[in-house]
Amino acid sequence: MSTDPLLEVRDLRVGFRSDEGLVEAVRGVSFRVEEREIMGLAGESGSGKSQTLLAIMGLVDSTNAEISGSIRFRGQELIGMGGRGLDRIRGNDMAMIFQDPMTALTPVYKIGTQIVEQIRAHETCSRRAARARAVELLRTVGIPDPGGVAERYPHQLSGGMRQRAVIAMGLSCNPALLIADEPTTALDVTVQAQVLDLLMELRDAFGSSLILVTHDLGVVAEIADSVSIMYAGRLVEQGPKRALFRDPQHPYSWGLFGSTPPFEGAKPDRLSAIPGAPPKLSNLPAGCAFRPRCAHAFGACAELPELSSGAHRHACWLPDESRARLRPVEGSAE
Amino acid sequence: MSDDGVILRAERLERTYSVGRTPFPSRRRKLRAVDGVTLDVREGESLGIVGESGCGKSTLARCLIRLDKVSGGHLSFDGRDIAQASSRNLRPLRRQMQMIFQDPAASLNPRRRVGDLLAEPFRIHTDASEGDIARDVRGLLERVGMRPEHAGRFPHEFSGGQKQRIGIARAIALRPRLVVADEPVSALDVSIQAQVINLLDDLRDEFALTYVFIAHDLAVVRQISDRVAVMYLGEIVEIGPSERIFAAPRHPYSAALRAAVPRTRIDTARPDKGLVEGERPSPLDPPSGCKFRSRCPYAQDRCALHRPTLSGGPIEGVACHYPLGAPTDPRAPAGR
Repeated sequence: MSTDPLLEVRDLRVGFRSDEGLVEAVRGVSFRVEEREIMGLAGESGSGKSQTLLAIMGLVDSTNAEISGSIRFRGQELIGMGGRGLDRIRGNDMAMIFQDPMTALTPVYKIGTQIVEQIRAHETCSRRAARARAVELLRTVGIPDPGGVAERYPHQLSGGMRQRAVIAMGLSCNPALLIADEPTTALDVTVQAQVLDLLMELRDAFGSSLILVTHDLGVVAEIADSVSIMYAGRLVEQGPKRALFRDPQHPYSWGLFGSTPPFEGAKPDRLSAIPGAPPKLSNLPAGCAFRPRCAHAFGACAELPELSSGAHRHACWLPDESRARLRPVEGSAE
Repeated sequence: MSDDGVILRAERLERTYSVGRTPFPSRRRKLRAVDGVTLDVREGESLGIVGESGCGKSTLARCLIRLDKVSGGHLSFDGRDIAQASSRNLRPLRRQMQMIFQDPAASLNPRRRVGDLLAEPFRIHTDASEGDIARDVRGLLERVGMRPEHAGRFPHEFSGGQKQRIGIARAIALRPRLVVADEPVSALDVSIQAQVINLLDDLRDEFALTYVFIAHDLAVVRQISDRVAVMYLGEIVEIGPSERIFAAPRHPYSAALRAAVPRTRIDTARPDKGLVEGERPSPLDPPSGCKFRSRCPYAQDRCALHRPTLSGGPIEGVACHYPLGAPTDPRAPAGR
């Protein structure tokens, strides 16, 4: 057995009390993230990927939420940990990069001031030293004229520069785990490419691990080492990127690949879209939640499938021999 | 219609805004959102327009069907000059040119039932009876994959994908010839996006529609377009068949865009990583000569002096002094 992973999530459940009863956004999710690993967490809106991240960061609004399961960071349980303990880990050992840099930065303080504040909240160091670190961080994330940018307000920067500033802030305490929620979705492709390159460089330079949430399989293919695919609050498939892209196992994964227009090679006459729409979390079908949209559903699917074992796992009742036969050949990455 | 099958022709089309807070209009600075665009849209084709945010693609789209004013140049629809046509003169043409918007929630009146929203084009442009209209509305809903009883519901009762289907139904209600779609799928989830792309494809075959399709996702544009125009700071830098442009771009900017697209095939890495450096210049203060030269890895002295024109013409052309793959290719070993 390997040693403790950096992060281990076990049977995580996040539910919200509502008029319709307890609505579960995350319904029993387990995964681990090793040191230096980049994990891509893919899924559509409502699949529970953002709530999973928020739970790891201890940011789920607790007034009407119920969280259960286990989230261990370097062996230390985070669920139920008080604010004090979390504050030591959050920002220091784990940091989060949000999708929209404009909401992650306050508009009324200069970029440099915001980074300095973050550094000084976690370490005792002089304002001047923190300031120098902030400028250095801005340089690290590829911002030209970092000293000048530190003196500017968020609205004075372009979207790409703002996102870099937010990444710089996330890196300010050299976190072992960086959690990024759709960090490039709001960006142009040219800027996205730069930011993805930057995230990979940072992993190489600082050895940090990264959980990257995205709906874009191209982004996953680009930088992830491992992939987890979520649907309706559960993991449906999980594995090393290469294996999962070469040989996707779950019909939902097939659908995602078929729905994504290829950028190279022959273009299909039609995309093999998934029929229907994701279910409402307040009204999930019994058994496999993908069953109503699945072309291969059969009797067994009325019961909830668990993730199989092994490195490349899936949660689907299809027998392996028919799976190999049913998988669309033009599926994904051959 | 014009003999060569061109349904829409833009020549040196311009849309400028004056910006700045001075009481003297002559001192305001000119922002050239669309700066001399020449292109032809042929009947039945699907022309994609790509470029980074702020390149003027949405403004161009709105100008093409005169949802926005045109500041200069020529624009003809079906052989008729509409560049400066009044809204009264445009009105009979409106039913032939329709638009699908990015955010269906914002383009559907929340206080009106879907049936009403879809009946409106018929009420304005035809003298059909209410009974006929109701029947047509039901047919439309079914055609875009919805159920007839959805006519009685309000927009907020639908998901994003369904709202976009309603937006599409409204655009095709009067069987237009030209449909301009501005980022019609970018707000949708991947699986829903594929459904809507397929729907747009089917409708095009069924009603012989011509599309101008704007999207920032190049793979989506490649899937749906026959031809593609690449825009940079208000200009078209390259136009041509989509397969060719994405496989062998001639303009360095097209090449840079192509290089930046993440590949879903894990064995094909992005080529030429980080080809584009630096930030896009402000459209208020574009570089002299070729606007792309400040970020172009192959820029020469000439690029700062002369603004390249779209050589080759409005069907397939490139605006570059040293296009890739040409004898003057800057990357060719014997070249410059």
